[in-house]
Amino acid sequence: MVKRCDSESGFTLTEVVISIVVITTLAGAFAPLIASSVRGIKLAGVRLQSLYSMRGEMERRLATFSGEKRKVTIKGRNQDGRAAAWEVEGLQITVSGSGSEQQGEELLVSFVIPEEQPL
Amino acid sequence: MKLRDERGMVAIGGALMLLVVLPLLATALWQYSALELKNVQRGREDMQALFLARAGAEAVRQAWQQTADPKQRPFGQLDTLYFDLTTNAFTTNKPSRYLGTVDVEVREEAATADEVEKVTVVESTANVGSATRIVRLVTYPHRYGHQDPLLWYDPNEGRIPGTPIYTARKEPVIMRSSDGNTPISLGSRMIGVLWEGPPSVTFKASDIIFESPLQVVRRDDLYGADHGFDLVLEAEKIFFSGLEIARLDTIWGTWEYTVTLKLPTFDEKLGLLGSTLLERNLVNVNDRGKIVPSARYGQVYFDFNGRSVKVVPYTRFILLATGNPSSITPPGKGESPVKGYYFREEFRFDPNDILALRNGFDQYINEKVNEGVLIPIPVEHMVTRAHLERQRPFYWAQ
Repeated sequence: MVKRCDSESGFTLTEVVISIVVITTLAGAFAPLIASSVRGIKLAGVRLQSLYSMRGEMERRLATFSGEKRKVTIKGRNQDGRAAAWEVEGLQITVSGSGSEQQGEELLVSFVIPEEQPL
Repeated sequence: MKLRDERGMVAIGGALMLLVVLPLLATALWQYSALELKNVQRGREDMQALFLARAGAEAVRQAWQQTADPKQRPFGQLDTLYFDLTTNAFTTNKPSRYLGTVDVEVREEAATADEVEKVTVVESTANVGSATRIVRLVTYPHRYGHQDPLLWYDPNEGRIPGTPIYTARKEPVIMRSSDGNTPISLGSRMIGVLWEGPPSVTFKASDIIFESPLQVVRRDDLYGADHGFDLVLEAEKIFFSGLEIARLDTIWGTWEYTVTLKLPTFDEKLGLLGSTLLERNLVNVNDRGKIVPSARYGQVYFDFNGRSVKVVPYTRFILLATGNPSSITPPGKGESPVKGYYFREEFRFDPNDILALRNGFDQYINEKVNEGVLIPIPVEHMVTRAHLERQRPFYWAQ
């Protein structure tokens, strides 16, 4: 006689225990992977948010010319084809992020020449 | 319990299903997470590359603009710039730890199909990790008043033809005849043909820089004169390298050949408000009381380096040039050869008024200064002609 699944009789204890063991083993095996994945997704969100706020801050500083006065030397050739060097002074703007540092520095750097104030 | 018990098999089957599904789900989640992190990483590198590229372009643009001699300006592929993470500075020497690299090239490209006009392009390429960003800064073509589409005057003769409407440019325009010394003046058609309304033409640009003298009318052209004429210069900064206005007395009346200075409106009206001049302390202490805070001011410069600013009286049918021209006394030795004034919106040099004064042009200028229509610009706040020419803007190109 074939037992029907909707039979009122339940699983035996052994069956339940085996199933729990299998599921627990599986969950245990994949838990770190899942946890790490969830952490990764969260981290990506945080870093992305940090990146956009860094970009906003960089754009603001570029527009307001708020940076550290620095000199940059450029080397190359002039229009006569002779080797030459030029020193320019401008503002170096560095914006650091507050996100994780695990995958490298959260750092944006640029250099801007303040516009001469029109008289 | 028997293993062949079908109910047990269902339970075990379910567990085995989980054995397949759960790893699949976990792997998918892990891959998604890794992809997200990679995307953020790429986004970060891309953003870093963009700002580094802009940094390189800005630095080279400044090197280009601050070098007055065109032959000494940077050109071609320049040495790679690195941003050194140890010293937090840009360098051309490859450091052990660097954020990224910037390669900048300066070149000339044809601005028009006929390749007559060239633009200077500063192209900056930054590499950070696997991301590459390229930005371009482009100059407008070097624009002279005689070049297309302006065609304000004939460069060989220096004469302004009879075109009633001229194109305006929101950029500095240089006025120079071919040899540099031939003055720019009204052509005979402008002063010999009857006009509808007041005879006047307007040249409009952000700045107008005369490298050749502006002689509003030449003696030879006065033979056919039928009326006076007003040349209107609409610009925020006007630099004269010699200026001559004139008055012609005829039996029909007195005609004036003069210049009016106005402030141009492009997207907005250019010039500085009087309140700004006061806030930024751009005027001498003694002149502060003459500034009208709500009025707008432009700047006019007279370069006396070998050139004069004068008004010449002419009389027709008797002798063409009569009387003594009235000139501004040039600066003395050891003084700046350039005199600069803020002019209040719409200022006209009036030959009649100048010639009526006992001490002529000098007295006229003094009176205008006392009236507050002209305000002397302190030497430390003056701009030079070279500075104005360098203001030719670069713009970011996509």
